[in-house]
Amino acid sequence: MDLIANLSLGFGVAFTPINLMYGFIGCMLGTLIGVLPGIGPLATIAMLLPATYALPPVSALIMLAGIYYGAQYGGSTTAILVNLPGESSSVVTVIDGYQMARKGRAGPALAAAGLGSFFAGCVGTLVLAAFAVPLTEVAFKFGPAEYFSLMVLGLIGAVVLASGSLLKAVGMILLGLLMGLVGTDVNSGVARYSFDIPELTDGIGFIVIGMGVFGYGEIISNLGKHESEREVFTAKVEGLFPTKADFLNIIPAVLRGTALGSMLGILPGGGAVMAAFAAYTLEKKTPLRPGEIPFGKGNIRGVAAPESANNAAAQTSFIPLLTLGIPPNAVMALMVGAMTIHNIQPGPQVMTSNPELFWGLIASMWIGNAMLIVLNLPLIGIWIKLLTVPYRWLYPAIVLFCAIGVYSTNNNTFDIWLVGLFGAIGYLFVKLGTEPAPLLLGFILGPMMEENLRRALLLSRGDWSVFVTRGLSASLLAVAVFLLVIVMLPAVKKSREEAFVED
Amino acid sequence: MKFLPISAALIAAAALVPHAAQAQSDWPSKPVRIVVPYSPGGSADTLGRFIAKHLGEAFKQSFVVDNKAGAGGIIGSQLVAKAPPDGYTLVVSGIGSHVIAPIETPNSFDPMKDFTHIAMLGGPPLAVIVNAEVPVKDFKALTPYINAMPKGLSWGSPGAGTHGHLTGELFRAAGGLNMVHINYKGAGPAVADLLGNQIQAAVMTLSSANAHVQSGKLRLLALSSPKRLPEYPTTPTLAELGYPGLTGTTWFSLSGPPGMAPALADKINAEVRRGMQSAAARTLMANESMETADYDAPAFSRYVASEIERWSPAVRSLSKPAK
Amino acid sequence: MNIKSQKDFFSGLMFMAVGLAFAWGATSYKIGDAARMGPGYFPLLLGVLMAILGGVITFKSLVVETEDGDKIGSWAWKPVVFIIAGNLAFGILLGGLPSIKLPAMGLIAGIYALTLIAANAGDEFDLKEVLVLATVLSVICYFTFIKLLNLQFPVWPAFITG
Repeated sequence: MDLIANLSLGFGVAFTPINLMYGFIGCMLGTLIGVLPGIGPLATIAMLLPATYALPPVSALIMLAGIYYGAQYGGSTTAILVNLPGESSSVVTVIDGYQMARKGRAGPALAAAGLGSFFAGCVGTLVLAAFAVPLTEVAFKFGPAEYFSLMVLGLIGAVVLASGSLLKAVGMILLGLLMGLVGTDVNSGVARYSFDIPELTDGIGFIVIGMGVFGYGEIISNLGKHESEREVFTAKVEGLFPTKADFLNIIPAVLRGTALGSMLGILPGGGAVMAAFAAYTLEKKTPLRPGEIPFGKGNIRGVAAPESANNAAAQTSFIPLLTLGIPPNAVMALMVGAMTIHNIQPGPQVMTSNPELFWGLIASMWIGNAMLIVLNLPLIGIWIKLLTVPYRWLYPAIVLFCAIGVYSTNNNTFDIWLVGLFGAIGYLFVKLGTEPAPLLLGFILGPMMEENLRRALLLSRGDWSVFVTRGLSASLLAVAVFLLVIVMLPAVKKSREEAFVED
Repeated sequence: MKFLPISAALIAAAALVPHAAQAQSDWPSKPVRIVVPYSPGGSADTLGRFIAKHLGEAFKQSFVVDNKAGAGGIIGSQLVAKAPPDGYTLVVSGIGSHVIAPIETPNSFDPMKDFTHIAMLGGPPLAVIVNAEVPVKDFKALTPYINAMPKGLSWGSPGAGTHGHLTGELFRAAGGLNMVHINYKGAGPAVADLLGNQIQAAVMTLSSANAHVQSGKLRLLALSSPKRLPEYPTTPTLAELGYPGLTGTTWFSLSGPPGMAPALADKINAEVRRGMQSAAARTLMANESMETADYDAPAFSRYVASEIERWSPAVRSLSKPAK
Repeated sequence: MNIKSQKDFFSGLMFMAVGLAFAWGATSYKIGDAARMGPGYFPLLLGVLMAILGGVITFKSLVVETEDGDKIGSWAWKPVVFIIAGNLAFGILLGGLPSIKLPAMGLIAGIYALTLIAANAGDEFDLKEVLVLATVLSVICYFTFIKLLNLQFPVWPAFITG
């Protein structure tokens, strides 16, 4: 398979003026949706899909891909600027990104996110192009036991996401896991913890928790502080671009994030979600350079790494889609639908039966990433201006957009109440010093963990040892234990030191 | 972001004139939601999107597919059962979600009383498949293979309450075989695990497995169609193999909330039938190994009732042993 | 009882309470065994774990010294009340409240209500300014969400649209 020839075929297809235009429209639309919290790419693609039926398949897919990436970029923007994670991958960006914004460094944060994503996108596309088929074989080694162990590893890593107390972080993870279980159990059809409220039988939405806990919680806590304590966006914004020192720090972070994300994206169902969290965890465990801000307080690496990871994962998550026909998430599933409507069967033969489509799509992914950088970098200046709006005008707008965003997913006012409730809960969390990011990861992974745990035990007929007798699963668990030890060691040492000092 | 001066803002506000009252009779006057109660990518989803596209072009409105998977199609269907019967919320119903699953899940809904059945879409036959590495060359070798396994066979289906699940369980019951069903949320994940040899066999729609049977990764043992399919002339039907009671098509259809006006149901039915007889539909059916049937709305409703009657005893016979 | 860390003490209590609640709730579902996990198995497991963890955290809060007692500090009642009230008002007006027979008043009414109420959560409140803000937000929302993205929201009160 001649990689260069294929890529040039693809670029030939994608670089036509018409397709470039569709890509651009997709990117613009996607960015707009991503920026508006709560209105995710899913709803919009669903709405726009019928419009794409009239387009030739390549153009339709290019536009949809543009929307998808645009939304991801837009989502990071809101995460950094106003502490609102629009989708699961932005939760990690929020942690350091928002802190950077509060210190007047929103520009560098946005730039780091954009550039990191672009680089990761390029690498991810190459990986996809070159290694699609062999990588699928790797994915096959992952059975339910392996997925479960991987998620355990991911959760232990999530403990690192919190800068505060370890025990409380674990508590938040458990809380997140439990909250993820609210709703109808897919296996048995039993509605759990729904208190006979029909809206809860579908579970609590991620957006609801994200908007409430991060969005409202932050606003309430901010307003609660005295004017003097309030660290609201300093009018003096330092600079739009990362400094040289920043670049030195970002580059290794981006490389690590890209590598990790590319690997995790391959796993159908569950890999890409963890990419951002895993990258942040990895980054946090690398030693700080002298003069670097600690993680959780606005370290630019804490933005660059997860953003790169999740973009790389987004690219490589096309692999199970294109080779197996299994969409890694709901948005991709829509693209499968679009392909089927155009009578293209996603699967191993797509590469051979419709090479222009396959390679054109891959080329368009790269183009989409490039367009978004071109689009977003100048926009940074505009976003910064937005931050200079007096807070008393900004926060009602945020409250409003959260409510609208949440309502738009299901057109159900009940969701609006839930956001309010979680807003109060979010404030409670702030007061108790428990951090929300681990909770959200637990929430996302909870149902998947249960599903895989159940399935693994069914396959092993109730034998728990399956997790350690299967090689891959055992190694993942071993890494998890190792990570746990590393994480706990400083804490243990510290309290031992304290105890010594006391004596 | 600069704020507009007050006057400009007020002028703009005045320009937001309220819309006139919407009349019900010119359906559809706003986007229609078609709920597909399964994960994206499966046969229900494919048919749902196809008919959404066709109806959208025919009625010049947006027909949007909304996936709400879970409990074999019950969750999504329940949503629609509670919606107003104004024609703006429809569901891709079918043998799984409206014949089998409601019997298996008590207190879910009454498939005849809680829905208006509008039109048949069509569907594929079921396929009994194994991973190509499994040493079972044909269907007859399957039973001895299962009996030889000390812990029984782990097999998958698109989920509890689906046609595939039912058929597999009936096969198990008929032979008293040791087969452990592994639940998946839709055909996609089941295929993935089958390809990865986490499970060795599966019963699911032919459409879901076709690509991989063609590429040689999966082996097709039997089909549930009444006659052999032209694209697989060497694959026997379950009827030929001695299981006539397992013959059936995994059909999908379009339904709506209870109490829809007959005229509205007929209007949608007529357009769906036109869509399913179109050239585009024929291509889709051929690609997906599906077939369709032509019913008007009342006739289709009777068909659903007859399918419920046909399959109820079989489903009940399986749920008798305590789980 | 000498609470060394107020935050930890109360977080621990929260975890214990919530963990026990989930665990207790889990018992009303079938638990099953490892090979055939019922719907209650995983929640029970997690709930118990969380309750134990909560206990450990509370214990630690009574035993391990902290610099300043990790005080929770005062609660910002005004912002909490007004933000949540604004959110509730928006929801009620947007969709209506069947239990008191209030019909849907629409997006625009909701925006005004939310802005007017939520603006009270801050330190200053200037009616004219707030009304302008509400109007601007209404215009932005209308054009972005209703016109551009074609989202299905009730925009105007039900008695106008019929």
